[in-house]
Amino acid sequence: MSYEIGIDVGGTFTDFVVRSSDEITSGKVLTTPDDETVGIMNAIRTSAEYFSQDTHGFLKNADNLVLGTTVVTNAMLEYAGAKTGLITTKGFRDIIELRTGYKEDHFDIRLPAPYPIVPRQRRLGVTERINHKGDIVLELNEEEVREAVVKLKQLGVESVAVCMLFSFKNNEHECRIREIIQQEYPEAYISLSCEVLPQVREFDRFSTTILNAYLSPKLNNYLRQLEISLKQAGFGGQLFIKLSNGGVMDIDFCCRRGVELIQSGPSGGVTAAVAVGDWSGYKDLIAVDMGGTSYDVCLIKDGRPDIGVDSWVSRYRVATPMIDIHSIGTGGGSIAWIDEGGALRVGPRSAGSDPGPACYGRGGLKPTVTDANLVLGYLSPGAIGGGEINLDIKAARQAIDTEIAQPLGMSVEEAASGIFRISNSAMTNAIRYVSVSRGRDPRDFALMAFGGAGPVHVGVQAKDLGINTILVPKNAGVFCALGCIISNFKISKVKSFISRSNIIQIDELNAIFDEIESDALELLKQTPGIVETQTHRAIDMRYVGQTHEVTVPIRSRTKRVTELNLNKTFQDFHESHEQLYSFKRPDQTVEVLSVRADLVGTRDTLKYHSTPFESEDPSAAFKETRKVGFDQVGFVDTRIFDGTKVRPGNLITGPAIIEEPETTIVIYPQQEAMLDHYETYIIESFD
Amino acid sequence: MADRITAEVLRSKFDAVVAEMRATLINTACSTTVSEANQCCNGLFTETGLLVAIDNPLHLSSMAETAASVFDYFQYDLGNEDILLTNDPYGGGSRVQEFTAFAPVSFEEEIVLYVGVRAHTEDIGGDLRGNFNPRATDIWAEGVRCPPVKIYRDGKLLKDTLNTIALNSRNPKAFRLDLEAMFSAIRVGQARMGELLHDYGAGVVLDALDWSVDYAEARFSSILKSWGDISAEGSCRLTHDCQEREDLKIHVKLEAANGRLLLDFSETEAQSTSFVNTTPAQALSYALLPVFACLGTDIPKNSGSLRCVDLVALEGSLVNARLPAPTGWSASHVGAELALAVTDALTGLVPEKVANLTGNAMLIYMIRRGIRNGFTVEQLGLTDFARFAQGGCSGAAGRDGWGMPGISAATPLPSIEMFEAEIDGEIRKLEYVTDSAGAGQWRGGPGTEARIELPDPEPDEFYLTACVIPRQQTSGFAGGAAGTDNTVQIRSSGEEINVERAFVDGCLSQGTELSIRMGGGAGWGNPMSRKPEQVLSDVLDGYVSLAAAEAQYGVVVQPEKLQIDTARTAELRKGHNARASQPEEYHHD
Repeated sequence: MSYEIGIDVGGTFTDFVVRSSDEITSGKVLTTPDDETVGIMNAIRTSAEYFSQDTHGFLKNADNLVLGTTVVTNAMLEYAGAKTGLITTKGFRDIIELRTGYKEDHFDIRLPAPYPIVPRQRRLGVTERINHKGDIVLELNEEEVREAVVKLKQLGVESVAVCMLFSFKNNEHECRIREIIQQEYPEAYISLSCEVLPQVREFDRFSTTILNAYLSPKLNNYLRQLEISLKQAGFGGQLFIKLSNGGVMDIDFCCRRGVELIQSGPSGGVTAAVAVGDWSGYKDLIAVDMGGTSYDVCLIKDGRPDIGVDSWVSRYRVATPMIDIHSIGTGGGSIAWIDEGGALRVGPRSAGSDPGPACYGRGGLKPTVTDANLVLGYLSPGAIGGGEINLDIKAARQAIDTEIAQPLGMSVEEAASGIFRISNSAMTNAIRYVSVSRGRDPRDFALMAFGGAGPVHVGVQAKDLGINTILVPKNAGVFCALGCIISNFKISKVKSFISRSNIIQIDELNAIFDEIESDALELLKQTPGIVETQTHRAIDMRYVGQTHEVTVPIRSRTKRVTELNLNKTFQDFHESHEQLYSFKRPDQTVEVLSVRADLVGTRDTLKYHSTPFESEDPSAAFKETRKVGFDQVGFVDTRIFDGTKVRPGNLITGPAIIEEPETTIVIYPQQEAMLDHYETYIIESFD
Repeated sequence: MADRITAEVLRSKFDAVVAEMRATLINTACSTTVSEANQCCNGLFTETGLLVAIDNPLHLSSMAETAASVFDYFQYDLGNEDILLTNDPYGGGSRVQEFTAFAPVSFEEEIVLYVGVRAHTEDIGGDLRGNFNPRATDIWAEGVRCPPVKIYRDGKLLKDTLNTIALNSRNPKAFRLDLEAMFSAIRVGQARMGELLHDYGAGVVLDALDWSVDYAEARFSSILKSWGDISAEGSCRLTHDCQEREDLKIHVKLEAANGRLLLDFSETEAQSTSFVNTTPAQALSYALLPVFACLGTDIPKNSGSLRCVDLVALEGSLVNARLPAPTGWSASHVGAELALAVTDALTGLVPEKVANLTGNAMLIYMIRRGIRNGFTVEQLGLTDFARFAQGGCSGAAGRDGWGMPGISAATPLPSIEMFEAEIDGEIRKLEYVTDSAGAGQWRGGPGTEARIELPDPEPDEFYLTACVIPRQQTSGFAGGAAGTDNTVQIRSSGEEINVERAFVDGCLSQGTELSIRMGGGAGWGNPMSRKPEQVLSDVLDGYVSLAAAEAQYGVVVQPEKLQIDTARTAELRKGHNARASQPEEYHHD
């Protein structure tokens, strides 16, 4: 028997999904924040036990291990990357600190500057200049470069970012600087902006390159160590890592590109959402992931997740393509409180996972969303997370009573319902905002919930958004790990190419595509396990005078872009523009800024087998009845079902609750859930 | 009736509706003033004209006043599907560039509330493209006034009205697209509020609107009450008004008692001949900025907060200009000085909660002129250089200044690479200036120097306007020092012009280079209380020179070793009470 293992390291739990030839198994172990590897090895041991094997035997039979890691994310959260220096064009060493003037909050006078991952003393300018045409207007002063390298070495810098103006047009100076660094300081890690992100707009390029320099050495050490540990434990297969763009790559690739792994974990959830939605016949989805501290929203249109190229991560700009996940700070751990105006508020403070909600009994005394869910009967008292945590309803009631119900003069149940409603409102507002600001109407989408806490709330949120179809995959609790094993290889390339629709030269355009695609294709060729290679091309364009671009896919599979393809792409731009921004100007010149190519190597990944429908009657899964509180209905006897016994075709009418091992799904009154052929609950609303 | 939980749920939805209107406006507007610099505002109003929710408090009072005057004007003549439009600074607004549109939201054929949108348009007539005219001595030299008009009647666009306004713009196409964007935002607001009325019932929603206003009032006054009965005075000076007058004083007397706030600007000087005047509505918006910052970032802002405030602004003064005074630059000056005067007053009361929110903005733009027909010279385009002037954020208790002051940070610094590709000039430098930041226990943010080489123009092609206010503050906050002055130098054909006040519409010759120096932010607290290791780090980073470390901070750094000379530092700091105030831990919500 052979295995494929997907492991996602999260903040609290490390999730795993193992696919053997004919079955899928999954589970959770606690994350070990000091050394992720320990949690990973625990997950492997637990999986091995499931298959009645020892770790060595199990790993020996494992073909692939695909990992979603938080090492990079955590290095950014804790600002624990490598000691980094910058060599840049003289006169521009503060670009990273000026950060286009951006401030996260215009009214918070106490908001401090971002933590300086490259303080000014390690940012050195050297004489050189290239202009916007790519011409060298000032030769590189190599002596200054040598002095800069010596100084950085003296300052103890381990990793050097090289960021010159217009290097995306002409990389000569950056490449020469690399040679000089290699001569003067061969041990240093080097990241060139012309390689990390050869794209116009210096702040985006510099910030992304600096982060790459900051993050890659740590990631490299970690992955190499993990590789050794796995080998020692018997693993002889391939180790792949999840990237922020939704794909996976091998560790040689990843070690040099730390900045592309910032959303390694969460992107797995979205990949799984795309696949699972597709199996069940839904290509337009709003995927929501609610965990203990955050609520993440991602739009999937036509089977493709929105990709963002202008994200902020720990207050730094990342402009490499990442699955566009909008996050708000409302989760199960969000704390409810009363402000000085007497209003009940939920968040943004969170009890996190430690001490966690009051009901965790770990010393948390503040009432949270999870406490409210417990009091309302949505969650069942007792063990969760594989027995790691015991939900204590008395503690939940006590916290809500003291902090909310008594001050507001209401019952504990009313207060819990208030917390529930207010937290839902914040989450639906976020979904609406994400949709509207991307020119989309949420009612055109189905809502898919995953993450431990999402499926409790998703039913009311859908109603609030006017969405009638909700999808909750059975394995919603380990979705990111599932995403790992169904991801394809993917390399995203970009290069700035500034031109206009009336002067663009097709040969020049094709030459640029060739340039960015050839290396990546070569790399994919060498990667084992690829079934076929696909190239998805796109062009960033805008109307002349505008400041924001629209990325327009080139709808063609021809090897070269033809005149016809290109004209069609310009037409598509006008249509996309109208869809996003409500107007188009087909008679106006279009400006081209960058070209993009995603090179995808498809793997022979997991496909679920369709399971035939059984009877509609779910009574075999019926567990018990308990009182559960619903808005406008009050506490009513509600049937509780054991999710492990629900069979495809079973129809469960709300109000009802389905308890899956990793999550709880609440079916509200006027809703009906059916488990479909592919183990996804399809919940329809009728009001 | 709305219970308090439903009311709170709806209150957050009202904010969300306004945010959606904003996203729509920014996404669809044509002018970069809106799409990029986000100079716009969206609001939600009760049927009686109370402002319930707003996305940009810079316009708080002026949106409320404009709404009041427009609703009053049309009170007996308003249909469910009408849209109203105005830009009149003397009808509650601020300046002619900013157009405001309102539309009713009805339920079962009854008007039950309103939505409103304001956007900074690219041009609306007047002498100079872009409507920032330092030579203007009346409002008509700035642009065209548009009193409240119906732009839609019964759901139909009134084309003749639209043409009358749009054809007064030098870029009517963009103007129309901006108006369309405003109407899109209005439709989003109407649709979303319509859904809430349908889902929750009109009674509940209208109740929640009133509750939201009362709630803002309750929070504002409850925090104010906790300050006790207090009074203080503050002032700030505008160095010049870009025309004849110098050293214009803005003075405020601030009194708080029983949860109410009095802001008395009686001793502020008479109105100017130039474009630095404000209307009282705008004056109040700016005066309240530092107050809101003191009350906390999540304090709700609407007519409820305004209920707690009394403004005294004498007619004919800088803060309540009489028609036809120009007001075009009021959002920068005296808006910023007004806010600083209030900050000055608050410094004595709550020093740990003050910093500058508004910057010392400069005006530096170039109009490209050209002849397209016969001998007629047209103003074809405008390039804004002021956005390269970065810096000027003061220190605050617990943090050094950084970047731009809050309000100014809304307008982003353009990409150098994109800018060069567009104008074909060269930015030679954009970097912090050593010793530009005001010293303090928490020092100001450094100012920057930008050097820009312009492309060579055709004869009579490029015309530059630059207005420079050297410095607003002579000292920092709570014992800190002021930052450096703003300066602009123009080098053209070997000549060097130091812009003392205003350089208006001057023709540029070949080989022109601009040097724009933005002053640093003011310091907070006594510089002698700054930790020596922080000073050393500033020296290493080049924010502070060795000489300034010694002179301003009393910290001696050995030039060779770059280490603190402890003995000499102790000597210099002797006699100074080194007990520094330690602010509470910072949490950003």
